[in-house]
Amino acid sequence: MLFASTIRSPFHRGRNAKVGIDALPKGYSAILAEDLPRHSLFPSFKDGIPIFASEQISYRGEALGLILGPDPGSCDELAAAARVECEEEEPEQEWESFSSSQIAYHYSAEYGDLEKMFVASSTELKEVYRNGIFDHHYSEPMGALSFWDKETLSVHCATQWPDDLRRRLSGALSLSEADIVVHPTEMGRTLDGRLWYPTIVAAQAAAASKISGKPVRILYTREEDFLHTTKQARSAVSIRSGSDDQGRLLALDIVILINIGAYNPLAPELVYQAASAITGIYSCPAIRIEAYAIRSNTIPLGAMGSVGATHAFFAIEAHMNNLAQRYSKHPAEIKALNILKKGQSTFGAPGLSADIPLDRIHRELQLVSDYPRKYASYELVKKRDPGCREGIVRGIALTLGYQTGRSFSEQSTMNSYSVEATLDRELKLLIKTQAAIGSEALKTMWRKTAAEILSIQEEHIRFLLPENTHSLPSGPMTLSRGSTVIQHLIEKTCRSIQKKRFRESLPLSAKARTRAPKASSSPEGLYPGAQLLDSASWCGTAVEVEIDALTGRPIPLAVWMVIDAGRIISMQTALASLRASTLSALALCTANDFDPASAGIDDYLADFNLRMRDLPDIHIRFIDPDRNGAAKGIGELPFVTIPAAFYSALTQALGLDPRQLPLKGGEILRLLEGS
Amino acid sequence: MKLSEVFFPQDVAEILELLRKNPDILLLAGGSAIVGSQASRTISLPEQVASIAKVQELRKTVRTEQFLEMGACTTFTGILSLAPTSLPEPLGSVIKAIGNRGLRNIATIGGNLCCENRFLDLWPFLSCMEAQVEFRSPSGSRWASVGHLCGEDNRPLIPKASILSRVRIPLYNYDFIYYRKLGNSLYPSSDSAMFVCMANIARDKVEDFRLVFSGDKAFRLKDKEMSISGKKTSTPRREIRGFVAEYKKAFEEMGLFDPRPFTALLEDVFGRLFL
Amino acid sequence: MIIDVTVNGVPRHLKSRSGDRLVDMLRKELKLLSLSPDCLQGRCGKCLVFMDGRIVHSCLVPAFKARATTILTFEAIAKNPEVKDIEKAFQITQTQPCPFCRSAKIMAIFDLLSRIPLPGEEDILEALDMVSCPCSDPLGLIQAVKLAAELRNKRKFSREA
Repeated sequence: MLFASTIRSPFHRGRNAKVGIDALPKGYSAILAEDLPRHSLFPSFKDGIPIFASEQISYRGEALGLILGPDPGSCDELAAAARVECEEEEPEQEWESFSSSQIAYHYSAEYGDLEKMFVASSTELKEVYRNGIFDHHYSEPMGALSFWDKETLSVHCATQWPDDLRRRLSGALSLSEADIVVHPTEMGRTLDGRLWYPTIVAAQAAAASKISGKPVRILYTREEDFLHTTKQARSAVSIRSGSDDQGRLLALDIVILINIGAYNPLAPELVYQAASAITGIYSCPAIRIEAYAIRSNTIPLGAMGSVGATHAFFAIEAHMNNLAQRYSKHPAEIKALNILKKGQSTFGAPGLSADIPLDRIHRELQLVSDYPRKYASYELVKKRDPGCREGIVRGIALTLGYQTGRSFSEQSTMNSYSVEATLDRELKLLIKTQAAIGSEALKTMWRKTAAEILSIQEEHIRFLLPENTHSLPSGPMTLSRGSTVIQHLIEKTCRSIQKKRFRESLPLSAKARTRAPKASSSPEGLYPGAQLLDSASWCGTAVEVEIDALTGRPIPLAVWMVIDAGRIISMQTALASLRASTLSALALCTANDFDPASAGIDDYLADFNLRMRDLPDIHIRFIDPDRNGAAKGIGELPFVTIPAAFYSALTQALGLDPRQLPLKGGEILRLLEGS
Repeated sequence: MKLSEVFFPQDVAEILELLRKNPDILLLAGGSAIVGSQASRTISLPEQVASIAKVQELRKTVRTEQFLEMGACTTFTGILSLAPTSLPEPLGSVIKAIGNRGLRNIATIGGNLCCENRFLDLWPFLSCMEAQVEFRSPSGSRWASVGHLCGEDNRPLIPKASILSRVRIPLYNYDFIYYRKLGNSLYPSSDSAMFVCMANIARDKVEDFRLVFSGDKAFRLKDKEMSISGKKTSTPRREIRGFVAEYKKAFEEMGLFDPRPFTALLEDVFGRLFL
Repeated sequence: MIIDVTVNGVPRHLKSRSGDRLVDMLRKELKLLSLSPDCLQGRCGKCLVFMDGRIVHSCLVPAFKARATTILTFEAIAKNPEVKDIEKAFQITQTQPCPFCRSAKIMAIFDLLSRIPLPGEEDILEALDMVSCPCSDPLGLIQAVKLAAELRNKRKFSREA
């Protein structure tokens, strides 16, 4: 086997890259763009995305080639010694005021008479909410192993979307899809960071393996992964709202900017999901949304936990909290006024068939978190001691959010999922699905579901990846897909087997395949992919934050969540999964904002700040978890509710709106001094 | 890969002989600071390295009535395994907060003091405690204050061609101990620093006042410490604000620390020390 | 250079270069794949080994420093009844560390329980600080360690009785 190290661009932007390599030691070789067919891996993305850059360098650290050899350390050194030249160009780093050439995707929609409603409004509030770049903290750095077995290409890679990986390799390497076998490997927690980037690494390994005739392994070091692979996109969401004298929303004028870095083939999805979630759970008669994916000469940036929706929830929830401040009302009061009611819908989604259980969520959340008392007392402290010089710097906030089985937008391949289940004579069940690469918590839930339906032992249920990805095609595995769509398919196949059991002898098999139901168009036909709220799980989250008045470090003290997610199949698994996600979501709020210009491995390690001993109290309560009916997803809920709650709690503690997350200790002290 | 020559000296005499032949040889004890500062697959080392962790002479611990003396290769776990009464406050808790157990099992007191890039956690405490270090070189040995490990440019100054062989810590407990670790990381990083203040209070007077702030660079203003030592704990607030302002000004003149947390810490420490 | 070292009870003469980390030497020369060189900074814990009885991050140890030492890796301790207790506790509490950090977490807990048979919460947190993979529920992990201690003590106690 050969190891491969990546030759990277030292330039942010340039044309016609030339790579100079001194004579390599015996057994070592180099592969550059010129050695490969000139097909783009993702031809649908603007100018395409190359396997190795050559004509156009788009970010510092972009892959220009590989050094192959028997020793990984020596490969690293030889790759670092490569000389790179190019016609350097001025990098485009600015993205909040962007040029038209930087727009990778634009979506706009309008609903109702916006201008009229603004005129009718008694209060206007305009704010911009900014989110930083965060690393996904995968369990293992990015990598791929590729080898040829006669005419068949085998690729082992930790990808959330093996089906797409196979299609991309076929296109880029001019191979038949039938000649490529993708073996998705264990991933641990991905937070949607492995949707598409592994395809680039896998294509590089595959190309190198094809040329060298040997198995090739690429495995990034953690530093390399941190500095050069995709992260959560930076976003700036501007919300201008008009509301009546009670605080009822009349108009929302929203501009969503998502900085996708050098490229991201899922830019339309990010924009689409953010736009579809931006109105949150609120009803408003007039809405205008302009949403852009903006390119800049920095590392590729993309999804984090809920493919774009996190940015949207963060902005709208923070805005609703700010609106409450403007009206000197409790945020809960303002939210209750504006919440969607039965029959109403967000942009183009079908109307809700039942009321959102907001009242109950709110009531319970306020009770368990002691929110009204704490909120009032922190407000008093702030009035008495605006600079917080006496030491108590605390805030508390609540936010609302939901998780649906998000449907994707344009590509039909993104919405197909399949499951095949076989029950053998020994009452052992084998479930074949590409979703078998999902989390252990999901597998536990699926196991319980199948065991319950078929009355078999959980230990007798196994998950297996299909031998070949095209036997069971699948869209990407994300948390919401796993916990809603696959869950549904497993239930369906098991019920089908159970039905047949009384008529036919074992072994029995059943297959189920689905395309996620697309939301019907709104009367205006504006937004066919809007969220399917009837399948949503609902969540209210309260976060209490303290700021260390000496160092400015924000410390989450406690998190309370009240969740209505239908039937909870395994309480222990659900709680464990939510607590782990809560920790990750809080880490996003307290981590260092990734700065591509100066980041180093220290920043990656600093993100592990929120150690177990700093863990806040986490209280989770489910509403009617034993009721009959469908189980719904919960894994994304901490990501869509905690950042906004944390930010709003910080706003209360500071007595002013910091307008961005995350905030470093130094910045917080500066804000405290100024308040 | 550039290869290094690695030696395994058995005693200090062999180390000194190696130093005589090559004053630039790297003496590697636990190695956690040197290896941990490199994120690449292979470790980059100088031409010659001596692995000294197993040299018994450098792992001995002696306790007298006046001081605790430790060989430089004593690991943090080794220090923590001493009877709690053997360790002057707050060393035990400071060492327990360094890294994690795996790291403390290899990191040594000598390595912590000899980091060339920055001051690690122990230096400010040992500096306040007036600890001494022994240097041995082919030409002889000498004891010096830990403070000598800080150069005139306020950066770490590790004597060349010699080995820091022992650390001697006075067994003297302070009445007032205040310290805060700053920065976004629990581990040494570009924005981390340690703020330490120790003093005694006798007959309503502040005595033996020491204040050290260290990170990439280190600061201790001995003349200021002397002027504060002897002040009454009931010193008027205005005068205390004056101390804060003087410290702030002095440190600002050096232009090295973010004044915001620093000012907050100074106000806090003086607020606590003076009633 | 050749490093003489005893790994998992077997004396070995392993090939290494001065810049190699111990984790890489053990993986490359002995195919001890429970070890993974990940953060290379002694934080993630995926390279934990026992070196002369003390748990260390083998990414922080130059391979040459292993000379004349005794190394134990997860492959050796996995057969231990203590590890079975830990795995059982994981199962009962439904604590599911990801495949990347599972052995590391077991090593850290094994080390803890062999030093402190009845650990308090602070001891547990100190042990788990060695493995910083964010995959599992922290409270579940603490429960699992407490249960593992209970199972271990029960097993030892019954045997002695």
